[in-house]
Formats: sequence, C-alpha cells, structure tokens
Amino acid sequence: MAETSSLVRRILDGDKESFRIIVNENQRLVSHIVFRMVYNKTDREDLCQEVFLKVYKNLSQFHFGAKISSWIARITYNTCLDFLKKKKHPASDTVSFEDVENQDLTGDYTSPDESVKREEMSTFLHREIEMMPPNYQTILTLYHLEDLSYTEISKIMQIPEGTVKSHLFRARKLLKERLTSKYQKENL
Amino acid sequence: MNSKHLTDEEFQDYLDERHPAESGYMEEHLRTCQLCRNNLREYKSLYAELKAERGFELSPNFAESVMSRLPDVEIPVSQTRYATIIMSAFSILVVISIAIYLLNWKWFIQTISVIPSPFFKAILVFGNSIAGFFAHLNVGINLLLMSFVILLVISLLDYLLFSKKRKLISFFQVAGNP
Repeated sequence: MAETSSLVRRILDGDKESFRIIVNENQRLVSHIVFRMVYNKTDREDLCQEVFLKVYKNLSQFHFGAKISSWIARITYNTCLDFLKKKKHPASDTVSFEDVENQDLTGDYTSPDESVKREEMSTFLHREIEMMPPNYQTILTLYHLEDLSYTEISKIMQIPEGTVKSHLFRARKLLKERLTSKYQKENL
Repeated sequence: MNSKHLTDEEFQDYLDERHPAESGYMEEHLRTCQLCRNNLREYKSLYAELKAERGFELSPNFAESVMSRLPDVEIPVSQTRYATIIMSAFSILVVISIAIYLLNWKWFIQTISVIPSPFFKAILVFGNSIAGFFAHLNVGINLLLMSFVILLVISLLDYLLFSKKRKLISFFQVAGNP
C-alpha cells in the first residue's frame, strides 16, 4: 500500500515514466474485464488504452488508502458500460440471464479422445460464458481469474454483495447444468 | 448415510471453501453417493476452466502506446485534498475548543497544558479565546450562541467536505465515469 502511495505521488509530481509500472501491473486485469464485456476485437485494445488514460487523468482523485487495482477495475467496468451504451450493443440491452437460461443447447459433444474432449469442453464453456450478460461474465472473471472477494467485486461494479453472490451462483449453476447436459448427451 | 443429495449451493460453497466446518459432512456423503461425486467432478471441471480462461492478448507494445499518449493528457491538480485536511483539522480544533468550554473540563485543560505539544497549545489558546469571549455574555445568550456556533461548524463541515465530494463524484462520473 505504501509502495502504491509513493508511486502515485511520484506520478502526480510529474514522473510520467512511473506510470508504466501501473500499466504493466494492471493490464492483465483490465484486458480480462474488457474481454468479458466487449465482443468486438478491434475495439478491445483501444478501450484498454482509454482506461489507462482515464486512470492517469484521474490519478489525483485516487484515495491513497484504497487498493489501486480495485479502483482501476472500477474505471474499466464503467468505461466498458459507457462504450456498450454508446454502441447500443445488444449484449447490454437485450440479453438477460433468463434468455440465456432458456436457450436450447446446440452442438454435440462426441469426441472419444480425452484431450480433444477437454479442448471441446473448454471451447463449449467459453461459448456458454460469452452468451451470458456482460455483468455475469465480469463477476465470473473477477472472482475466478482475479481472485477478488465479493466485497471487492461489489465495490467495482457498484452493486450489493448479495447480488454478486447470487449472480455468481446462478452463472455457475447454469454452466454446470450445461456441462451435465453435454455429458449426458455424450453418454447416450 | 444421508439420502438427501447435496445442493448446488453446497457444492459451490465447498469448492469456494466458504464453510470448512461442513466439509466433513459433505465428504462423508460423497463417499457413498455416486451421483453427488459426479456432480462434484463436473463442478471441479467447471472451476478449473473458469480459472484457466484467458483474456485476449494485448499487443506487445501496449504499454508503450499508452505511455506515448500520456504527454497529451494533463493531470488536473487536486487542491481539495489539502483543503480538506486543513479544514478538517480546523473544524476539529473548533469542536474540541467548544467542548472544553461547554463542559468546563478544568482537569482536562490542566492535563493538556502539561503536554508540550503545539497542537494542544493551539487548542488551549483557541479554547481560551472562545471562553474569554463568551465569559462577557450572560448564560442565556451564551447557550444560544453556542448552539449557533455548533450548527455553523456542522454546516461548514458539510459544505467543505461533502459538497466538494459530491461535486468530485459527479465530475468523476461525467469525465471518466470510473
């Protein structure tokens, strides 16, 4: 925490080069969130850059007691939401979790080879995750990939902790049901 | 053996290690229940996949691109942080002084005066000034003025700390929406 504070102070004092450390340490987190929320590949890198420029511009507003990665994650999440609103992306407007739950399963899971099976399962799961609303995807990403707690995710996404917990539960339950269904098809 | 199968919530809590105390009961059940073992295996596969999932790869020169755009961006100087600190200290000073005067803590003043600290001395000087001022007034007006001063301090605090914060939040949401 003290290191972060001194780093931010150095940048605020004009040492722009120190900002590179913030970029390097947080680009993975930013790219994960952007990847989960924005489908257009060409927009993703631009958005990541935009996020870091916002971080730099608003650095004087950063509260020194806070965790900088959570603050950056919140900026990323809001930047993506703004982007989706501007673009009127269907994922942000029309797709609800219920829509995804009611979708029919497509494609069979028939490879006998274990490694191919695993690869297919991975592809299948990724496709299922991508069909979920962006907020569900983001929660899955922040929890499983970034190891953030309910409290941290709740602060980043500005939603109650209970909502984080229930979204996470529903998303994983649905994904597991889809997996089970695939296994059962395979075994028939 | 408990014939009731484990629920999705129990599986997830188990893998999230949320209720370690219940893991003994779950493991006991899993030893004898093939269906729940299968379910757990599927959940474990799912967790492994969620953990292994990767985002898209940023270009190798991503950091460089960001750094090259920084000179075009100026960091707005935030004076509110310092103003807030100074005004908070001042307000605390005022409140302590009023409290000292109102409660007549002679023992407190005597204790503080022993401590060689510029901060406590400042409190004393300030408290004594206020006390001196109000000593000339009678008790009724005294109380009325005290109430007014307290209200003033609270309003001042609210304006200085929270109204600026509100403005900052709205600026933040419009400019960067972080």
